[in-house]
Amino acid sequence: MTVHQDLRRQQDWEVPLPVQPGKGAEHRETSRRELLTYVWAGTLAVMTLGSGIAAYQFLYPYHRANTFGGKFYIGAATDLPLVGSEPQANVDGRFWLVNTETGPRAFSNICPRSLATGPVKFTWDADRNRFDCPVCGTKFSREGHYIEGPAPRSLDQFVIEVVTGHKVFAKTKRLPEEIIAPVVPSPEAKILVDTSKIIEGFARMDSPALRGSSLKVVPGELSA
Amino acid sequence: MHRLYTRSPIAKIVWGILSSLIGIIALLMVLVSENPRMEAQTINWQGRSIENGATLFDNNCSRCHGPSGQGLVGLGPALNSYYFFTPTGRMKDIGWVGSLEDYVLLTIAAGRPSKAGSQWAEVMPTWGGNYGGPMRGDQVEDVAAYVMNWRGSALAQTPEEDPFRPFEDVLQSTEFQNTAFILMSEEEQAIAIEEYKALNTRSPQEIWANEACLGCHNLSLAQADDPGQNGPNMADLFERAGSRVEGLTAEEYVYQSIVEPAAFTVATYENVGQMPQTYAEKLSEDELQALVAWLLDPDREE
Amino acid sequence: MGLQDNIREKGVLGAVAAQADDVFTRLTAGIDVGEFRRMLQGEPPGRPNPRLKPHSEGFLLHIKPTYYHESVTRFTHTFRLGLLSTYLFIVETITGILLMIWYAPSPERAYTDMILLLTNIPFGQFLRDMHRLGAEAMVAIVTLHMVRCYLTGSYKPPRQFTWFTGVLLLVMTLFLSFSGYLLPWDQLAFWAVTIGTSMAEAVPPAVVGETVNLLARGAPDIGANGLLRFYLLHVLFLPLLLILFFFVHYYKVVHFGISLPADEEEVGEDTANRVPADKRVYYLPDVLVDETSFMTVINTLLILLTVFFFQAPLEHIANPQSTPLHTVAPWYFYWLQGMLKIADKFIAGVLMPGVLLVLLMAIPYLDYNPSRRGKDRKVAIVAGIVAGAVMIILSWMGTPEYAVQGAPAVEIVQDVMPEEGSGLSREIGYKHLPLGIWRTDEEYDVHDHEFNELLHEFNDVVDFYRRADPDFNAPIGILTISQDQPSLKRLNWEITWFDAQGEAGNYEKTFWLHEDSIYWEQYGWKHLFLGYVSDGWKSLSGALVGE
Repeated sequence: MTVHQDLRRQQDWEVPLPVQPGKGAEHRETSRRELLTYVWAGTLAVMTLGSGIAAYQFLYPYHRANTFGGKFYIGAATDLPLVGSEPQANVDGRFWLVNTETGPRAFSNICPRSLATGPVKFTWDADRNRFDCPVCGTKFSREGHYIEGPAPRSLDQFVIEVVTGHKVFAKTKRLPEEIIAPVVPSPEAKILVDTSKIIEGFARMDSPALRGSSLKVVPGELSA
Repeated sequence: MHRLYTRSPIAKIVWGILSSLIGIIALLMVLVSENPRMEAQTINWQGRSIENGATLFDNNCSRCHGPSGQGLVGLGPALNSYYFFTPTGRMKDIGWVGSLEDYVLLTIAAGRPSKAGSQWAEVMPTWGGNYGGPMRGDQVEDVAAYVMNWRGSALAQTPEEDPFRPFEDVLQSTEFQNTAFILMSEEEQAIAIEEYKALNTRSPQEIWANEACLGCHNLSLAQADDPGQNGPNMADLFERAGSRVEGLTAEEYVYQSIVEPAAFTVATYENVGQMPQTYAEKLSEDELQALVAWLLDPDREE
Repeated sequence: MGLQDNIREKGVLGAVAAQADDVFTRLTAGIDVGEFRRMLQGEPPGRPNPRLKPHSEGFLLHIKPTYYHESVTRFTHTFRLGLLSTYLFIVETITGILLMIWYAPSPERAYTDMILLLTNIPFGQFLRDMHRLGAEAMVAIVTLHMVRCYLTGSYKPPRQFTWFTGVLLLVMTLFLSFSGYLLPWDQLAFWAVTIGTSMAEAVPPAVVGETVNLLARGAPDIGANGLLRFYLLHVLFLPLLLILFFFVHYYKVVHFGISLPADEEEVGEDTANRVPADKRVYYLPDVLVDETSFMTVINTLLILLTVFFFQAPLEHIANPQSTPLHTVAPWYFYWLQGMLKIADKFIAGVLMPGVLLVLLMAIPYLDYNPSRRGKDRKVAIVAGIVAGAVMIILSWMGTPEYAVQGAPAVEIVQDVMPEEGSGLSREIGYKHLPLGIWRTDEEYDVHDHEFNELLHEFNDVVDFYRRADPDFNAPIGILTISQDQPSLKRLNWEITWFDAQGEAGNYEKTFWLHEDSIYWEQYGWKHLFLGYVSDGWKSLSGALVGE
């Protein structure tokens, strides 16, 4: 505000307050009106906030259940493949569901090598008990660990959620040295595969399937 | 009328507070209800897609695949079938690695590329507009949704109930589905087939069922006056056959109609479509004679 | 006054308070905190009135008058219909912009996007319903606004041009609503718009008509181009045009003031802008509180109607090959459809609406009666009522009730199970349709109340056409319900009858109904909503408790 404007404001608009008669009842009446106006402004603000939440919900990308990018409901834990049995292909979810001794895992069915040139689905080789990529020939163990071939890392996994009641009991977790499958507490627990969350496999040099093989030189083993 | 209008500012403010509170509650109710609502809407629109698919299937597909998807032998395979839906059945046999739904979608949209080596007389036509067919993409999806809705009843079938008949009634029985047969010359093949036919004479009833005569023709006397869908009713054939064509006896007329259907068409069926012209090859002479006699028998056993 | 001086004079706290007051004053364009509080408390303003400053200095209020005559602030004088129209336009803009986010105007995607909106987007159905309800309400409110102005004679000098722009705004509102009609790309939309645009074809000479039609549709028939054109008209061109004319209209309203109730001034006089000091109601704060309160109430009303009662219809996907039975225009064009039934396409579709529009716009220039008082305007008011009645009758004639009757058998099936929409069969739903053969010439002892109702309806409608049509004798309706697939029932409706010559007739129609399909009444209580709320609440509270 310029000095000029400031002066004009004082001259033109700022007049001394008319002296209030100061009757108690009237004063309470007027302050009640002020308070109610604030309450109203508050409810209108909450309303705006509510509309904001609605708009946020409306805008947020949302994936339909059982379509790729959303959550896949596998059913109760009893519907999982048995430990040691053949992996189940889920075509729509683009994953292989495996029940390993350490827990259930959902491997993205895209070979980690081919991601740059275009996705290639790998397949399960039942005779040799491993996953094979038909294009680059990389082989992975049932647990998703890299065995051999040109792929840069072990298989990627989607996050599996184990739900008891309405609560997520356990999830697939990535630790610095391994990817931990969720614990299944009871046969009734529900299994969900969240295809919006992917955990990248570890670099092939870290694959446990290589331990002891001549391909990999493990520093610890050398010194021992 | 003036009472409609409140002058008091306090009253107006209170109206404002109350109505915005009610609005907030209504919005919160919507917020809470959205997940169940979307679930209900999802299955609602899936259901409607199946309903649309049912209409389309009834108009276009049931002629070959049967009105309840049980298939018509010689025309189209069964879809309401355990073999078709179980993962170790059809999908495994043809080596399809995608989902069954995708297979159905693609088959409807693009049709079967050829009928080589198939027992089905008809080729599955292309339906999808992208491949030159008459249906829009959403219609193909609706039909696929309808077909996939048989999953429940199909998987409940026992193998005996399963109407799917893979390669059973083919002219080229399993004996001929081998490299040795394919390598023969055409004459040798014809001789081999004739020999096979002579050794394996089927009863007229079997032919009637297996060669899909019943797909178009009807034997029920109760519906003798009902024109039927694609072919004339044959319940009272013995009464009419002798007088259809000048100079042909009843036996000659029926025989000709089977081996050379184009020679004469009943006037009311001229626009319906042609009878397949393959029966001369498919049926042996003995079978033909037996069939003609059976069709003209007023007291035939079905 | 500089900050340093301020601090020296008032201390740090005082200077901060002064600075805060200053910022507040700038935001309100001239009202400081003290004055603001006095305003909220209902205290009278000082002299000269500081509350006029936001009108002269601020952008938002510069188009609002600083005060109104007390008589025009009465609710029953204007019913706030103009404000309501503006409010609805704002609602339409906001919900429309949000809906555009999940919509692509192409025949391949439009309908799928609608279903996606309903099945996959939180608040998707809410916004769609609200947008549709708001659009229909806006047409109604703008029309009522015009009726009010006609009845109070507010179009008389000097407000002729205000009326003229108002009629233009009404036309634009109609076109806005109509252009949005096509966007869901369902049968309802497609055929209503096909009929609507085909009227353009009737413009003579034929070349012009065809050209207009081609320009509107972008092709001989409505397709991808037509959809895109209607979309652009709906979201860009018409709203911009409407905003422009809105400002012209509103400027005129403010410029001349809202006309006073006719009895309060002399005939031929216009004193709206000469308000005596004791009759002034200032915008700040009185009218502002009034208008905000009114809009809050209306807003809640709109939300409640959307949440509990209104569902925007969505029929089958647009199919140019099949015209559904009883295609109708949107309700606000029923009158046009009614005229088309009794007159030629050119007269009813082009000439009459054109003449009507010109007449409407010319009313203020044709009406030489200087008085706005009801008792002096008997002719005008009677003429208005007659015109309204004619519109209502024409609208009724536009519905399928009038002069559209198919064969009785077709109409019977259409009544119990229409091609589009719900009908009693779909309303009672899958679980109330027992398998079996149900004939109208037999009595059944069914314990299902809903199904009984359907059988009665079927009987009644067959009986109605038996009595109404001499060519429809001894009719029998046969409903065969069979299980076609798991959770899919097949309903085969067969009607047999004898015509006047004794020839037998037969009509069959088959529909399928899936267990999960929800068909609803278009305008009615959304009976599933509370169930969804309680389901949602159960799972939410379950998650909160941590079951």
